[in-house]
Amino acid sequence: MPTTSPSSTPADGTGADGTSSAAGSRAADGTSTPVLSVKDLEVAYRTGKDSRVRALRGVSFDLHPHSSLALVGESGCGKTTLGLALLRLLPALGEITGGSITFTGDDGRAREVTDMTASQLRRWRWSEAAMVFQGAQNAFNPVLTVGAQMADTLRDHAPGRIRRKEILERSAEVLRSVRLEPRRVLGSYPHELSGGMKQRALIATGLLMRPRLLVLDEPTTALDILTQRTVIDLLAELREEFGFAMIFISHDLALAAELADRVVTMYAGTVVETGSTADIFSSPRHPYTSKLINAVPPVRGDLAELASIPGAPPSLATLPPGCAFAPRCELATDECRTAEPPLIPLTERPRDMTHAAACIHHDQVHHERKVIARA
Amino acid sequence: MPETTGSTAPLIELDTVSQVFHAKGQDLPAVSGVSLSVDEGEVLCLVGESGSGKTTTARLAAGLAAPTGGAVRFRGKDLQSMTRAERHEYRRAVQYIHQDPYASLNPIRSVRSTLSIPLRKHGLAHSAAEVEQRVDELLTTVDLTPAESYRSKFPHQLSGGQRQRVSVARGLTLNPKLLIADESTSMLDVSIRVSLLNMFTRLRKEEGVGFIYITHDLALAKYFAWEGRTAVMYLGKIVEVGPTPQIIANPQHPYTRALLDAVPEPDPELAALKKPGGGLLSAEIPSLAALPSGCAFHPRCPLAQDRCRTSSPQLKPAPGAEQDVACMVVTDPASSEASA
Repeated sequence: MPTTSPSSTPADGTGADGTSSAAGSRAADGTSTPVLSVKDLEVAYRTGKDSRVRALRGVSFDLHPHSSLALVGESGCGKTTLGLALLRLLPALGEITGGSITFTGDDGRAREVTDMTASQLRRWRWSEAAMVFQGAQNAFNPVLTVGAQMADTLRDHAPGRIRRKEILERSAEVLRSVRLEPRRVLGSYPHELSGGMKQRALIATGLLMRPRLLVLDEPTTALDILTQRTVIDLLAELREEFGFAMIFISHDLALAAELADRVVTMYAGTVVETGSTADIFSSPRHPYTSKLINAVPPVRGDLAELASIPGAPPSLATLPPGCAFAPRCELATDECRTAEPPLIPLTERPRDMTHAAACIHHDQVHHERKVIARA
Repeated sequence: MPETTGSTAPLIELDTVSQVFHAKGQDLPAVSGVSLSVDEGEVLCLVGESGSGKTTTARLAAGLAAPTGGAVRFRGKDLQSMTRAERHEYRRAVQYIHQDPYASLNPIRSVRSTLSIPLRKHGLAHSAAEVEQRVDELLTTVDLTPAESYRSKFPHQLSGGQRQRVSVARGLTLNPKLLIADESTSMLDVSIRVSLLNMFTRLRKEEGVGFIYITHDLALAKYFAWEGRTAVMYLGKIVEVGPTPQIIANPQHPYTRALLDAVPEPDPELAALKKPGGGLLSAEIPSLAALPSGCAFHPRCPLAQDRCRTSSPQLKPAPGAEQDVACMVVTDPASSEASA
């Protein structure tokens, strides 16, 4: 069950899709039209001649201009699939089998991403919606300089012909925004840059066309802690400077706590909890989110016990009946094993920040860190 | 079980060890004059960014490389002058757990085969039944239960977390006294990481296994080594070492402070407690091939003074703290004006 924006009432799949008019889209944060509105999105991967697995099941959320949303969950829960599906970048075996992705650009025109043709996609991607892929180490082509790859992006996506001088100017400008020295980086091959510099150059490439939406997949994984910090602080500043809306995918809840306005927890291809960062961290109401938070050690304060989540996420090909998390959940009852719970709205908040959890035992989730030693 | 030689000698001791690599005609001092020791049931965390020398230090302790200076001793015996039998004993007692579960298991060996080879080679199990029983015990220890559903699996049939556990089980086959675990390159899910650390703590407390744990994340060091020590390394040297709670609550070296400030908190309220201004002057670690003069940290240090550019600091007790620190500004604040 999706929660839709302006009045934050749980929608029953009606009305909200009436494609917004130009009016209001430029309004300040308050009551703006979402940049991205995802409704009941379904994605399947072909696994054989006649077999498919459902990788995403009924995913819905809205993303407002200038806001920042974290997609969290363990490996295999569908985070990356969702990120790729949003930009229609799924691998050949993957396919959007249902639902809608509505993008509203600066002009206030709502467009259906799932209906875009190849040439429309080409114009839309990078200029209005960009993605920073997982694994900074491998995302650049190793035999081209960073400057050449940035120039390619500009030539492919900028409207009309673009002059060499402008390419250089625009590349240098975004590199300076991510605190890189354009002179050094433009002429360098990827292997000549450190991991942190590569990640920043990738983010700069994503920002070349000043997109309204930036999707980042695990932007800090495999980076050193100090480099991670640089990238986290940089993303917060760039969001101010460039004014994009951001979706970032991470298995580390700590990153969400620092960067996101809103958190969406995914499990087995579906949304199990969503809410403002403050609500999610102070009182998670899905046992899965609570356990994810308690698996990350805080460095400040007392020494708290950490607990792992028993078992592993289910295979998408053989989902258990009912709630997919039930086999790993100590609150699970027979009822959980028969019907999959819908997202239940818990706390009404404005601007699509309503806290909702897909758990019939949400009132029994008591989130706390057990202190084992005082600092 | 193993006969102890020196009764007071630590299980493993690194005595001013150095490791200089040679590449492209240059000397790269990856580790310089590092001293530390770990006993049975103890835990030591090595913390630092890539290039700090923590992995090289761990490899020296594991005997995977010979130091170019100093000595590594196992129960007081220098690794370089061991007899065959002593070396055999050391090899059994100290195990290195490679933390890339995708590269460290032989893809064409089943779990049973991976675990039974060291058992047979070291004569710890003879009959097929004995081997089977020991394999099952090992799988149970690492929480791969029921064991019979994992024995015949091949690595590609296991998840990343399960492979990691098989890796640990292999490290445990020979009843080691010290496990060296390198997490610095790991990209494991948070829940898998925690379950491994909790398993390690159980092994330490119940079986008296000692640990050297390598990470770049002080939050993990805090959790795993609260009852032990943490050594922070920078460009091949220990810059701060002491009881973990003190390192976390009362860091002395500006580099330790920067590492602490960098850790993202899984709690917006704790994140707000962060003190501003712990930042470094530069995000990039210098190259070992061109080490800065004096204190190697000075180009990035917010506290650097003129004397830091010329003389290098020694590891000394920090005034009013329980740890040792290699920073003149901290240990000799009085002489700061004297040198210009």
